[in-house]
Amino acid sequence: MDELTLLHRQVHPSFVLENKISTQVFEEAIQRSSQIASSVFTPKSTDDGFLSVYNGEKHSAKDSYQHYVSQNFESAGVVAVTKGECGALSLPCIDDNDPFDGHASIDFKPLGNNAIKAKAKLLKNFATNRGWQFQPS
Amino acid sequence: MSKVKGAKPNQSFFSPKLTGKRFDNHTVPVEILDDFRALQELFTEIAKDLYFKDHPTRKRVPNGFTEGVTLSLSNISEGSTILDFLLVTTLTAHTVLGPSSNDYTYYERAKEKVEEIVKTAVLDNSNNSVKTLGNADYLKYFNRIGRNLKDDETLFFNSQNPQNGAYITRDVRQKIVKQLSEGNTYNDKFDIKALVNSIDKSNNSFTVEVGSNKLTSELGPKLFKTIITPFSNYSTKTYVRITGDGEYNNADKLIAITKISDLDVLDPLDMSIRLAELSKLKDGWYDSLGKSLSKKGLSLFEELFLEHYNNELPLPATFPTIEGNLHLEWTINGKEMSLEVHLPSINAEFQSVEIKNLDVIEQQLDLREKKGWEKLTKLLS
Repeated sequence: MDELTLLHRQVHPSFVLENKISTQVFEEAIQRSSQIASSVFTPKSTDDGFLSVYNGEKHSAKDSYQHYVSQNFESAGVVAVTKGECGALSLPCIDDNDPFDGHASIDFKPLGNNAIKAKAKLLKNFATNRGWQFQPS
Repeated sequence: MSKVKGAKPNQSFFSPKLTGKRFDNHTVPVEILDDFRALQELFTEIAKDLYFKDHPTRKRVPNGFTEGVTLSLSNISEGSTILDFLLVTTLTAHTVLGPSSNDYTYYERAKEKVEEIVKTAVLDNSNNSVKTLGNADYLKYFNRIGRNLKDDETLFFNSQNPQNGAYITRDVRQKIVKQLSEGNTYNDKFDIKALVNSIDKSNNSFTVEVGSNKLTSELGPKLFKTIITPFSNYSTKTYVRITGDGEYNNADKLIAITKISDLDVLDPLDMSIRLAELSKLKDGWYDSLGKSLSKKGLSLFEELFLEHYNNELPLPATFPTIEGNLHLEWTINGKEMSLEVHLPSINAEFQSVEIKNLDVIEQQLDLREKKGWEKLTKLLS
């Protein structure tokens, strides 16, 4: 992985509000409602401080979505940050290929809860600016 | 209050009392006067019925009987809100009618009859007690009497003796109307949040969905312009708020829209709608892990949010947390901000991160207190 490698993250349907409103009337609302939850980038308590992502060099956004939902997990689509963006926030990225080839982890481990939340907000901001990488039709 | 010609202090015909939060300052909202107009019309209808009962051979009421007779509000006094109505005729220079008048006698009996119907609805729990006293023709009047009362409000018929059982609340009104109507239906106001499901231009109608309930209404040209956007965005759940009059069935379910007073397209981030959606999450909603959100906590938070959240501020995007709490998020002026609200305690943790320089602000807020919301407003401004 290099600095520009995309790290794909699946977005649970409850962590996104609808963003397909298409009229000028809702222009402002579109910007706001296309928000995804910063929780998308917050490791779960069971994840031991690691946030699971797909290595964009091995999985396209669409591939990652298909792989994820094939395991009976729910996803509303795929957003991404780069390895470089994580590095800028002092978050190491590990190309662990575990439990499958192309799996990677963003390491939040040394951080306390509030620091995790603050960094998740910044990752969300990077991902939101980049836009959806894949959404099922 | 201007005095009616000839009015004497002891000539009050009808002295009801209104109680409830809106009446605490001893004023009467104009819409409530519509209810009294319906009551006046019902008195007239019953006065005529009583006359025919007394004179079975007559086919018409005597010349001038009930003609121009109205209730005239002469005074509003304190003690919650007590209204004094005189019985007045507009036929003869707007004069007050007294007990010596033929009209007065029948109106007095009509008033007693209405009180009897209302008392029966209050005191008798059987399903047809009102029906045996009333007449289906009275339905159209009872549909309007008490229609403008709110849940906490009561209209007592006799301010001197409010405990006599003659009073109208929203529930009592429903009971009377259900019993008088053929299909046990009744009309009432409605205030719904719905999705626009379809538009039928050939019939000039449109259909909305409230949960699994589908309702069709007439579609005027003005309304068409408003609903075309939420209709186009049906799949992305763009809700509309509709207020108006409708028909309810015996189980208090809205079954038909009679009249639309107002229709507004709601913000996609509308808090009430979002909380209603989140309340449906079940344990395990996130890959078998997410906890459901406390319904009691959601209800309390909604109440507090609607009362205290500053309308000048943008609405937050509201998400659940895996732990069963709420996570409100804003992106304002280069800052990513969040408020995690613990349910059901409503204790909250605010965090703001400035994207440019990574400055972080964190604060605990007690949103049960108004001060907590004032602090939130400052943090978001």
